[in-house]
Amino acid sequence: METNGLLFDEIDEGSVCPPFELYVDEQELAAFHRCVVSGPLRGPDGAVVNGASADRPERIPLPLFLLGTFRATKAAIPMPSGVVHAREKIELLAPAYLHERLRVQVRVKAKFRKHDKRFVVVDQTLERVEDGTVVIQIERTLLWPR
Amino acid sequence: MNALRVGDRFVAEIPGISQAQVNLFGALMGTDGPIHTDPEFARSTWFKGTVVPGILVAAPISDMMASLVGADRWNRAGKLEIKFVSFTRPGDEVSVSVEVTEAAAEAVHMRIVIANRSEVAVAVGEAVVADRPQDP
Repeated sequence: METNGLLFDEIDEGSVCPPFELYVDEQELAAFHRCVVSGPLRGPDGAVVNGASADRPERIPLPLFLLGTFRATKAAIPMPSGVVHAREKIELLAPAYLHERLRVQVRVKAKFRKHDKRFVVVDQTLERVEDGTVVIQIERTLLWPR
Repeated sequence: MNALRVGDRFVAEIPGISQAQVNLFGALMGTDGPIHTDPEFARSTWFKGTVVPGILVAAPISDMMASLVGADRWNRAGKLEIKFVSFTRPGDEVSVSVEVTEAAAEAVHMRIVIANRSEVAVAVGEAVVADRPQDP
């Protein structure tokens, strides 16, 4: 099942893509947690780490990797089959919560060839619509197939 | 966060992710390319089968960091860099290890390695958490 998408040469460095609206509800959060499962975190002595006791927020922030949705990236830059995620750099600046209206801005930061491989780097900024607070900034490097 | 010391190492075991979970994640997150969700297509590629998206493999890191430094600090002053150096298939178990490499008053640095049962790294990276949120 091949999918159409932009060829490497068709991608414009510096292009800014229309903003992508993101809204997370309980169903999506529950689906995320059904996919992301982990055993207990154990410390140097083997004991389970229960979390910083002084930190029990009243509202639980949305998971980082749920906020870094690829839907925004794909809406901005149609991807052909075979795109591989090479690297992710994330800066967390503020929490985001359920039912908040969020907006994702995607920009093609760069594209380059290295060792006969094609790479596309996109900046993805997530902000809260209500007050413009930047929640996370992502630099996402993708290996482009052709 | 002040309790973290250089050399401290924390590990979480991650159970194998099923193809159904990969498909659900793909529908939710947009990682629904055929290399992840179409076994027949994936068999015809260099990967010889479906692979789990990198961000799904890395996703447990965020809760781990929140447990170590506090959710508020992590969500307001955290930085994470992950490089995907190999891949996992549905069903593969991995471990996520976090080792404190620097523990200064200003920030704590941690090296992250996600490895499969053969101890081959599939993702490597670093997390840095400042002592206080960055100025706007």
